[in-house]
Amino acid sequence: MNSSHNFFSLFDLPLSSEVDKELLEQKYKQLQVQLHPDRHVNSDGSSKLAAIQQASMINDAYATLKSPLRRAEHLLQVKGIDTSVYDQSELDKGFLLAQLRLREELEELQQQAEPQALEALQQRVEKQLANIWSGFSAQISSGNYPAAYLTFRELQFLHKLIDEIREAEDKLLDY
Amino acid sequence: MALFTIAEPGQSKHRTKPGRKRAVGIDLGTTNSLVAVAREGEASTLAGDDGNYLLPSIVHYFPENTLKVGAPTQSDANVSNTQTLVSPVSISSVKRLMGRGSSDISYQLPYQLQESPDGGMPRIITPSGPVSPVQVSAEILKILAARGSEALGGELDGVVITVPAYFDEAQRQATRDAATLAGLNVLRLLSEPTAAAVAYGLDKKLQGTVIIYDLGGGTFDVSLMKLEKGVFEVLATGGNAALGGDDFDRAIANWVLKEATVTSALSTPDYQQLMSLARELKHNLTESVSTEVQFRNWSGILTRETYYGLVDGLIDETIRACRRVLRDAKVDASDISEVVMVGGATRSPRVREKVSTFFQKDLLTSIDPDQVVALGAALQADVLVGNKYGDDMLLLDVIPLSLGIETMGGLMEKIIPRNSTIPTARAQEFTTYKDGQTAMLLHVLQGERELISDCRSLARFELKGIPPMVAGAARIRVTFQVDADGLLEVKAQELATGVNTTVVIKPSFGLQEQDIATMLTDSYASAAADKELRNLREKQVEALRHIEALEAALQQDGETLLIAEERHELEQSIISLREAISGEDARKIDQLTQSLNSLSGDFATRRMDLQIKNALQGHTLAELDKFTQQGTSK
Repeated sequence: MNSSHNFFSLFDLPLSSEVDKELLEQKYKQLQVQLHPDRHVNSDGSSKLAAIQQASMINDAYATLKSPLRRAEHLLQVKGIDTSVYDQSELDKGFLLAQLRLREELEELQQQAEPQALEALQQRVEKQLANIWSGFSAQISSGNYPAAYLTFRELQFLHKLIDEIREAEDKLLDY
Repeated sequence: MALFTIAEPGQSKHRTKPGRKRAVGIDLGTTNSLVAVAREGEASTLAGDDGNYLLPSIVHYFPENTLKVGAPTQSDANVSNTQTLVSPVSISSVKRLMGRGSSDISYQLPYQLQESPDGGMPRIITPSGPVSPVQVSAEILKILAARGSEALGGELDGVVITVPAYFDEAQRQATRDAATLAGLNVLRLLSEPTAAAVAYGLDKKLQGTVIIYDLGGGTFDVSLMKLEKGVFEVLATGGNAALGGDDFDRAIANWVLKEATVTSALSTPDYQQLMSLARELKHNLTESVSTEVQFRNWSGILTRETYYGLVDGLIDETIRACRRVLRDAKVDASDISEVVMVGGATRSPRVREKVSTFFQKDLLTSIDPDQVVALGAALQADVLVGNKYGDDMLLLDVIPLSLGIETMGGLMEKIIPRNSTIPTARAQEFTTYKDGQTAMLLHVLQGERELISDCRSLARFELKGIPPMVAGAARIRVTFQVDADGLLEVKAQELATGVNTTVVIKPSFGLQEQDIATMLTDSYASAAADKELRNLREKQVEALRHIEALEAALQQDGETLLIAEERHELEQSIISLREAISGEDARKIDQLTQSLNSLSGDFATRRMDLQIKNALQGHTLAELDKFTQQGTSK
């Protein structure tokens, strides 16, 4: 909703690239049990509306912190980085080239209709993602946010690629 | 002790104690509808005068504005034969028409439709004139609500109505409109599988990650849910809002027609006869491996094998939806602890066999699959209306289909993805693409496909008054807000120059407020004067509810959250509204209620913020320990 909100402090969680998922879920449910619109069915109109907006914000906050990529972006925003400004030429040329190759590979596998090969590709990309993610975490811990922002952009590339691989699998496996 | 019992009509066990509010849960089904009540966590369905708790979802329209809801009887046919030459029209399966256009209906209906003038839902032609599916549904709701108020000994304070989880915006809105038309206060529209989970969770203490497989007469839902300490969280949902047990019958009927080489279209009574033959054959095949068929002068044999051949494709489609739901939530079939079967069509042995094979699990069927949804709805209604039981129960539901907007090139851009927990709000910014562009057409869509032609169009509206600027300079923020009923509102604002144009829309398939008002006046159930009086009473009650809620809030937080001036202003506003309530001007009451509402907006927001702070203060020591550890290791 409003990017000026700090979702980490909303759930009383430390500002970090990693979250304790169980604790997050527990905090989330603790808030919703008390604030959900179901608790305001018999309230006046303004309270009802405020409850809907509040609960929407909490749901958005929970979804944001649950997803590593959205959490990363939110963390950068809290640290004052404007994530709407972005220049692709700043990204590492080697990284971009590797991305291009992975995409070509995906297209070929789609034509061959090989679900297992797709699965293998997905695992490779996920491994690469994990590596880059630990780089991101390190940059965050050392307070190097502009560098972390570029790393975040790389993460975005890889996430998008994984989504596309999954979509290709869906089509192949008739989901 | 069995928690669920069936009450006899007129039985006094449900009489409400003083101070308790009266609420019921209604399962408005394609084939049958039910109503249930709950008291202190004990739910039971209510039977009608005939002793049946299932009310067939059929409304019979006779000439001269008379109608009857429920199963057809011999005497109805006699009446129509002796008094007039016009036969009554019996409307069944009206749920399939809710929020749908004529182009959505691809199968034969036993009644005639008429295109709606505004491109919305078609009207059904009856001897009393054309009626909307919303009106037909309202008639069913009225009967069920009457059962409820009779059993509880007074007018209902509120109802929870269930809808298929896979119902889209237009279908939900149409259902809500039907309730408004029936004069009911809807506490919540609740997804059917979620309602079933509530019944199992409270009565059978069901916990863990579960699948709710709900195959009704005309709709199919599957929900993957996490049940834990009174919190019912939907992780993902899927289904088909136009697939149900009726389709099994239809498949058999079509087979009979083909075998008997009937090529000409059937008359309505003949078609109904064929459908009941199909149902009979289906029942026979649960017991024996083959059954004899006689239709007109043709006779033959339907084997179980042939029958499976007819319906396996339909069942496989439901299994595909189960697979998709697991994949959406990234949950493995082996992580599922229970598979709950809901809906009359899950009595089919073939359905059970296939579902059980897919999940590699025994199926949970300990609560009657016909009643379970209404029972769960009643339990939720009892909590929502404010009766104390189940204070810590919380339902977290999702939207089944993505919501978005048309962008350049006829593509759909998703704003709220499917399986987002509701309520939810998302905003996205768009810009103008021409120099000096002063208006923008917004097209709201629902669906998963990329091309807008493959999605359902919900509404089109125009944002006007954008100041002329060069292309790309205007910033138009489009906000989607989905409430806890799954109903959508869309707003558009131009931000760049501070000019705010806000448009709030409702899906076009639903009825406009005006339509409902007209229908209420047109409704032949009571005279116009009654309507006005009822409208006035409703406004008075509503205004009083607002005042009481606000006064309670002022008592609690007024001192800390408001400066004296603000408080005075609110109190003055309450006094004027109270004066209006004692008068008889419904419009004035409405106006003052609205203005009190907008005046109390800030106060409500502040109270919410305070509540968030308080809500998080109940940390246990163990949690606090965890915090400090994390804080230091960072």
